[in-house]
Amino acid sequence: MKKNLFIIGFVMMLWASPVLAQQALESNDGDIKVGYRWISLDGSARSGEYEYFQKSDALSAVIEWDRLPHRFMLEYHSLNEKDFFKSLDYSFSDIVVFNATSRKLFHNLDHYSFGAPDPTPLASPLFVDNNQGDPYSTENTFNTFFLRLKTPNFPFHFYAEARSFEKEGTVQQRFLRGYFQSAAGVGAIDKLSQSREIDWRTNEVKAGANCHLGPVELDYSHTEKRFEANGDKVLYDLYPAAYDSTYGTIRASGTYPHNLVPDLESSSDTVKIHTSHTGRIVAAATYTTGEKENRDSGARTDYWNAAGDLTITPLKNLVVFFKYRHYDLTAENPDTVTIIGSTNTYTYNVRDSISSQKDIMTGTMRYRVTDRLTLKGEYSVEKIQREVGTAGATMILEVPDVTGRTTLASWEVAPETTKSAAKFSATYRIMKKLSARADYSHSEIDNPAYNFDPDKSDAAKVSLTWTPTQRLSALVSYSGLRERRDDLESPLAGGDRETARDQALGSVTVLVGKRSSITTSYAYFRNQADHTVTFDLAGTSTPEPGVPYDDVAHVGSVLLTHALSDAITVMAEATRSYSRGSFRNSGSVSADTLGLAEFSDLKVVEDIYAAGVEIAFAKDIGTEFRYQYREYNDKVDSSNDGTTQIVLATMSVKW
Amino acid sequence: MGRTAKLKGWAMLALLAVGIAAGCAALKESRPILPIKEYEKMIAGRLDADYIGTDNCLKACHVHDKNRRDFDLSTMGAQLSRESGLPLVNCESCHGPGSLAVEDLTPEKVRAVEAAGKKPACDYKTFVDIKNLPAQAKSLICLKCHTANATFNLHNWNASTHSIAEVACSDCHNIHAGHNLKVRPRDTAELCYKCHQDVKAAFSLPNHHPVPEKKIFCIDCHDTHGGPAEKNLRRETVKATCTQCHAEKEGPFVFEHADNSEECTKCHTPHGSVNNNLLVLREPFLCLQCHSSHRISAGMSAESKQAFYTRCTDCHSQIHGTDLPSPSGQGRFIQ
Repeated sequence: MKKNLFIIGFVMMLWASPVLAQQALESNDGDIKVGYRWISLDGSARSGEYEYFQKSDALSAVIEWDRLPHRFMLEYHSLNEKDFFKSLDYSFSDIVVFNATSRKLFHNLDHYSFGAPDPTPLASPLFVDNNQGDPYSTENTFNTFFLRLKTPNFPFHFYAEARSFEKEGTVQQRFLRGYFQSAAGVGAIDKLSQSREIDWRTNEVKAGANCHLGPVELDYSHTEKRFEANGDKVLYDLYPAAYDSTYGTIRASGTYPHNLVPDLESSSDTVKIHTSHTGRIVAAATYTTGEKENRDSGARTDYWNAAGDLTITPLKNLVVFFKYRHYDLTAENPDTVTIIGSTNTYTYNVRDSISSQKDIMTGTMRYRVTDRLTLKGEYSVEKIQREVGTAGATMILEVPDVTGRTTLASWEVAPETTKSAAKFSATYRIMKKLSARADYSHSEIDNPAYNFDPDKSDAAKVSLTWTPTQRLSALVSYSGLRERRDDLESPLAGGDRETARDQALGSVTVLVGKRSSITTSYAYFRNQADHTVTFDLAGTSTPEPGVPYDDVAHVGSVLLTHALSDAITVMAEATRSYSRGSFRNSGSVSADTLGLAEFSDLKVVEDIYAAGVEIAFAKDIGTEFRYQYREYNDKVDSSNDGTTQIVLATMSVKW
Repeated sequence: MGRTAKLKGWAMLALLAVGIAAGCAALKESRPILPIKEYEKMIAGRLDADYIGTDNCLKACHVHDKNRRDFDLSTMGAQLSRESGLPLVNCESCHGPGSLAVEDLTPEKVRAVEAAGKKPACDYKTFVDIKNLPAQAKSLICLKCHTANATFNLHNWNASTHSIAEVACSDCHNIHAGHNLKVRPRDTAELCYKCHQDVKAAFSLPNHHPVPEKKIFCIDCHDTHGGPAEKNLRRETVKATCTQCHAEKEGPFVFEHADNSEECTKCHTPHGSVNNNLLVLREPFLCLQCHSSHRISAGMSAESKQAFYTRCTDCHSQIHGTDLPSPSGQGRFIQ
């Protein structure tokens, strides 16, 4: 390690030597805050989803130190050992550029419940939580490293990047142990929940070089990525025998592995080439080829992607953009898969995963009609071709064939889908301080692959920005999306689908006098769908058209700041979000779908109140107090209800 | 890494080496392909003015002390020094020649105005009218230097979402602000919210990535200068962007969820949602859009029915893909 550091240092010195004699200019800026943070929780940690509930010292520092041509910048923000951000930048002229960051965040996870227990439990339990009350959370650590070296006086760069992401903690693993179609017929469902330790690590390394080559510039890079699953990589549980009404017992009782998290690795090579960025014609192209491999199962994917951009400015006010994207993915999953149980081993044939080729061509034209009005039009065509096998083809399921069971060797997915879309937008400065923007798009899909894909879609957005004075600014916007699908595919054949999404937004900021400001904002979200849903009622497929789904959210906030004097500023903020939603079927099957409402209904109110005061004792010395209260109130499932309170007190010094 | 990939790598390096040799010779002769002359005129400044140097701008007026200090510490500030060996820039590189702006400002007059407690003012009208330039021309002020120097962070800039939407470099970068001329990662969200208020609102929903908490940043997923994918994503595809952190879901797996897993946004919305796990719609409706629900037989208990029609992923817990067959021997994502 020391040897490597020495080599890096030596190389940096060599590269830097031509400018070492430069006259030095020195400066040193800093802003350091030291304090303490109190945090408390009452109830579920959902109210502080990304908080680590431990009182701790808090430190924040931003230091810029320059002695040209050397420039350093350090940024450090730490609330506790599980919640921090650190960044270090160093550059020597433009010859050496270095950046390293380290970041950690704590994430409290939900502990899902399975619902209300049956008042008269059956002999075979349906829902079992092996670790009731266990809290779940992960610690997530991101580290990055970047080093770029440039030859003096010539734009040739060598660069190296490294990136790691670690996720450690305890999570909830829910899974199905019992096979629902048992010999006994009823009561054989066996849903389990248990705690699982995870320790997942992702490492990615990239090295490359680029250079100016006269009329074009070229970049080449190679990337390697590894994902390793440690901790409870795979779980084992005792499974009951699986039973099929036609074939009898199809898998013997025994201990089997489940919920495996495989190790993955991938590598890719990328070449980029572009012309000058300032021409009337500017072109850029990217070509990537890569491979991914699942180190546990041997499943592989080879891919190559190509991207091309062409920008032409034929007239001062007219720009034409062409984009082409190609994605080619060849999936090579194993022909068979074997599962080894404590008493039996089974091998099954596996259908080929879907390989695909996707081409997207987009043409955009932007015309600046006047200094106030800009029009934009865009047309794009996207074509996806999938290798899904021969429709309806089957293959023997088990190897060797013991039961005579077969399974589909193909996918019931459209082998070719074409999407075309037209977009139009206008930006108009109505007056000096009033601007409007309108966007509209229409798209059509031939042979949509999935039933949630529309075959017609319209979207519109309008926004108005008004800043009549420096004391007032306002924004109003609305966006809507309407989608329709007339003829759904199996198993919803004959059904249809309509969806509507709306979002409205309003925000006003007013400066009151010289010392106060008020910002209020409101946002409305609505997501609604009417969709044919099929219930398998006693072996008969029963489609129900127009089953409604909706969710609505309102978010409102008010922020006040007021400078009591030149030295004292206070602030207060209140935010409330209210979300509700439901999914209801009706008619003949309603009585047979108990439980839908319990898990599909949504009614959550989340409140955040914050207050703070900043006091400057002197020009560069001050103190700050912040208080925040958060409440999460789930009116359907109270298991996530809770309140979080945070107090942060800091002293700051600047220079 | 396979043998083929290694060969490709060496071939690329060889190509690069040849190119460098050619590039050295061509560097000084290189010109944009058909430069945009109309915009060049806009950003060139007054042709009847002369260049007077930074000493007559920043150093002449105390009004600019803060600007000068920040600028001196910036990358471009370092380029004020000839000894640095870097391409030289100064105030007039962007603002145009300044002789007309200061021709009435003698040192004596400046001192007199300052002594009166006022700020001496140049004749700003003689400079390039940067504020009122079209966005494309504004960006060209920066690009005229940030091209031809192998800055591949701008590789996709010209046809990027921001460029097409007439966002100029100066809308995000304050070149007088010193150091990196860009906001710090923790502050990027506030910068992006200036235009993307709808995204800010989405982050206020009960389920969101921790951007408002300043624990992940817009630039973790988006490259503001453009990228090969839509929405200025940092990686080539949506999946490649998401699996930067959610790598356990990347695959490939023996049993894939058709080709849905290539497009995470079919089921998830990245900024915020009323639904857990950032789902576009809640389970089971999300799944029932494509799949038939399980059978119900007359003799089943209410609890059994409840189990069938609740969260599908309680049982299909490997929904992003699995390497293990279900008890039936097929890939049902339950094992």
